[in-house]
Amino acid sequence: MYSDLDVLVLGAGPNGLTCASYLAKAGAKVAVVERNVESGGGLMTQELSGFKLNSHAIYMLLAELMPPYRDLNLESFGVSFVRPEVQAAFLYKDESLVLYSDPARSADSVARISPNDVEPFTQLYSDFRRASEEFIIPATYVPPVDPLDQIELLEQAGELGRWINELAEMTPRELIHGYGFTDERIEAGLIYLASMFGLDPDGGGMGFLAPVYVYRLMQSALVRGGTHQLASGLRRALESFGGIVLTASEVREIILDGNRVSGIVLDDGQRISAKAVVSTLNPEQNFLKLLDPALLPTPLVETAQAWEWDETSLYVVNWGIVGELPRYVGRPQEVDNALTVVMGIESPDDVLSHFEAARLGSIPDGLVGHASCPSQFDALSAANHLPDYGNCEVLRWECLAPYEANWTTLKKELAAKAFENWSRYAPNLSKANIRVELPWSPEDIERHIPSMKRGGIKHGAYVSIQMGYNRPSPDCSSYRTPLEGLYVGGASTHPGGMVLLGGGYNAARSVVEDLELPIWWNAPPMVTTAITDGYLPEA
Amino acid sequence: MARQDANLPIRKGGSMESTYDVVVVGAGVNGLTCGAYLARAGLSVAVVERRNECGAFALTEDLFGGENPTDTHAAVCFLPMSPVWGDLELDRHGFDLLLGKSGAAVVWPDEKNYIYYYDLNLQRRELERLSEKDAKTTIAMREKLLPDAAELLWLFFKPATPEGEERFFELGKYVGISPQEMREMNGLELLDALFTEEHVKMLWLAAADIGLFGDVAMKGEGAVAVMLSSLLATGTPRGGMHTLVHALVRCFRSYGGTLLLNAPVSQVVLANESELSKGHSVILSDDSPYPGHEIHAKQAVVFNVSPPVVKELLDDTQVSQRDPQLHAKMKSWASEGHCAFISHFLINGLPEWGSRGWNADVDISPFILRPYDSWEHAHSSQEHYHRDETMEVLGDIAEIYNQTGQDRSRMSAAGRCTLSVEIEYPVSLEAYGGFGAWDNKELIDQVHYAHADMMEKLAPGFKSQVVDSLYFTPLDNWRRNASAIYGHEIGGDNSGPQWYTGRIPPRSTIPGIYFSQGIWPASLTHLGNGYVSACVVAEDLGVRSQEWWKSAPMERFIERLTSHVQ
Repeated sequence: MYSDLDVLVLGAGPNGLTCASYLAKAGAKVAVVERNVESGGGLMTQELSGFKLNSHAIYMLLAELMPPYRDLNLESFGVSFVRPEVQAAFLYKDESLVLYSDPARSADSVARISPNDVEPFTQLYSDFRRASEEFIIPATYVPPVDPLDQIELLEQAGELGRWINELAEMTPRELIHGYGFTDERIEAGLIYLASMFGLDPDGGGMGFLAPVYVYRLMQSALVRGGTHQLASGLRRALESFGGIVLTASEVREIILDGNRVSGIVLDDGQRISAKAVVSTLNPEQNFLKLLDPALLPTPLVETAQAWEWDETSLYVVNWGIVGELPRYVGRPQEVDNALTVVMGIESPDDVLSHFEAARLGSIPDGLVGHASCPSQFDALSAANHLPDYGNCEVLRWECLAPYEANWTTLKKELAAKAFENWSRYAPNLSKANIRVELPWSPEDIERHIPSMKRGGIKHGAYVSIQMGYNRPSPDCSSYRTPLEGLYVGGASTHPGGMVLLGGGYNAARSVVEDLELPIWWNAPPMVTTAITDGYLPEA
Repeated sequence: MARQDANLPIRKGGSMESTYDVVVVGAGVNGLTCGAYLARAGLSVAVVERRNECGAFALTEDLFGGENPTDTHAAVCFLPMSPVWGDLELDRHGFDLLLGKSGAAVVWPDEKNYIYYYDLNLQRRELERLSEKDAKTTIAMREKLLPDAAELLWLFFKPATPEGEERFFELGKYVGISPQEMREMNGLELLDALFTEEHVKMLWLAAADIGLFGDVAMKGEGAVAVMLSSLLATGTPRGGMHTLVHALVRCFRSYGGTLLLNAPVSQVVLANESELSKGHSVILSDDSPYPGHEIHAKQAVVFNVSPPVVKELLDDTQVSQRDPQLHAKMKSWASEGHCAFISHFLINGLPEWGSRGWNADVDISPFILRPYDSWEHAHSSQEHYHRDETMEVLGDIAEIYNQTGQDRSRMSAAGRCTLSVEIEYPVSLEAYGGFGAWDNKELIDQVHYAHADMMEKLAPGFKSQVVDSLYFTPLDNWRRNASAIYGHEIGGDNSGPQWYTGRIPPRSTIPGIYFSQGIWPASLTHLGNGYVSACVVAEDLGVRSQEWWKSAPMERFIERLTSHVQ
């Protein structure tokens, strides 16, 4: 069944499934190997008592902008997105800021709190949107460019390019602060958006990521039917092109003959050969565990040994309740309809303290974090076929968290605290209505997905020496490794984590070129435009 | 219209497809089984499922964080009895069924236990420790029964017939009881007639009371259930019950089957008799990612959902005109017999059974039955049900799943495993205000804690081992599985007027409309009802004759068991 394989892909997460689908459609015989019983990696949806609980990923930043969505015709495989109009609400002590997918409406909300800040907000939105659409998002779907060449290109490309070069030197907080907001609550909200997935607000050289996070968190979407539906769709696409997924199959070893990778050995001793192996695992797994470091080029081993893990992890808890959606008291009506509701911050310092607490190992208090009710936007999220026995909804709370803690007991305590805090804003939430509770701690993240070591959702810290061309290392920046036949394409490659499908997409192209298969897809228009505009090099 | 077209599933070769030979509604294990057989027989098949995952009650979840896979509902795999295991080559599709020297055990609080060994000599040895006389009776019965085992088990993999029913009542001949007497006896009366020792009666009652073959308390079927219970064979899927689902899905897909998830069906439109060639239409709900999409079933629609759900999907008037018998059966379908409350415990280490001094093999038994406290209690238990004495029911048979005892892959790195306790409770809860009381936290917490107390008696120290726990009530089960009315795990009662020939025939009199639930046998992990529906559809469509479609019940089991012994 598994003979004559062209490519083995390690890991059936979003990148692995994407990469495998492109290869299979190009005519390669592909198998994806996955240790878990279920495919999807972080695209998890557990269904308990009819409540669909997304224990890990939920907000899709790029959704249908991701080239695989169109190329693989994922819509036809049942993938669709829901993009609520009210994107985010910030519950300050005396005010509420509401951000919409329509920036004009967001500006109105800013005006209610601080009329002076409408102009900086509008400017920021416009800059961030332009930077994202013209450069940052297109750059997600091409191999990373040597930093010096990239700087040169941007420098030559005009005003926007020069500005992007400048912001690459800034921290996210500096960048947002530079717009001159007079009300620090508004600044705090925007910094929260930049850092809610663990980007250090004071991280040097990380300013270039803030625009895309902030802009896209005002355009974010849910996968209809739960996050896992994206994995199901990708898998069905893969299978329709003849690819297969071997679940419950853990890789023990990558087979190296001289300088050439020729296959893998599974935990049960089964050997599977292939012309190429694409790993979506992390550098430590690839170069220290699955391969014998003694046989590898020194720089690869050093990269893996020096790899910095994410500074913070995430804590997520989902509840299935029989009761009504939260109604926020004394807040504008739109708050009730917001996709993401942020609580517990008043100032940029509060955001920074939350990040620092998680980084330094303090236990979250359940006061700072953000909440969502997916069932509000997606009827498939909660089974409501028994109206006589109450209305079912899914609630979710999330915050940054440290890896090291006694999570076994803490995760339940934190769930209780977060729920209690949430119900202070929305008094109609009652503990008695909870039917299922599924807390997911940093330890759970790592146990379920070992490539997310220390609960690192991005497979490694976002620090400038680990970004772009350096992710995981310059000699792997084309997704090819110094070992013939071995490729990398997971979150530890450019563009990183966050369900962008970029790593798998870009890696597929390198493999297809090397196997001399047809490149059946075209670069998306945003990429060709970015090339024409000079932000990205000619292919 | 163009937008609708964009939603059509793509099949190999990239062409748009919304017409299939067969559409199966419901991707539980039996829907997948039916789909896989028919796809392998060369038909184009789509299985549509309302949930985001297949295998409604055959689920393995990380209930306690990413630590231990837990079978949240179906935890015992009856595939050893089944021809499906061999026909669909599930091993080749990644299914690994662990078979020990025994699939199950009984434990008593009095520190005795009984291991249901497959080996007759071991069985004799264990029974003799309880009663020499009863051991002799049992072994004599088993020796007579075993040569006919395959033939008897075939009755589970064929539609119900009057001849089959006669054969069931002839089972008494192995113990000197006439068919007429069999018809008049329930399971307890038969056990009273055969055995003398309480423990022996209780252990056979416990095996029969799993409900596979009928209700032990009912006349006739209860006696049949007891006779057949000694043929039970079970295994533990390595890694969790959901691996069975994956193997079935892989098998189904490898033969070109199409699977649509998150795709609730809103209605099935029957083709008029004059235009049957166009086939029936399966319409997906507006909530699905394929809103309002219409799928044509050229040859057959197979309903792998319970009869009351089918009733909602079809036009009532049409069904009453075209198959009045089916209409009446669906209308009167009963699902209120009993329902499961399952407690899951995350524990440090494995349970320390109080009875391990009696026979330490209890440690490696994946499926533990806690039978009635006494034989007298067994006799009175039915009354507790009927009187809604919920807390009394706690003394009834409990099914305990300790699969880590056999499948060490389920033990976490930190040395923790999950153990589950399932007890069947009355459904209506009238004494507590009705079925909705299954959401009453005070009541259900009490039931859950009582399960922990029960475990403490059987495995002293259990409560101190518990790290975390949660439970699923009958209402939770119904919310999870819309087809499980009142949380009924096998799609409706399997006894009385709904036993054997009283079930829904797999083939309706409306051309192209078939059932794989509510039929004989009851839907369980032996996959017999998926198999039976596949048989009738394949016969009607002329594809039944296949070289690979040939396995017999128990065949693969015996093959695997003997290879293990050697």
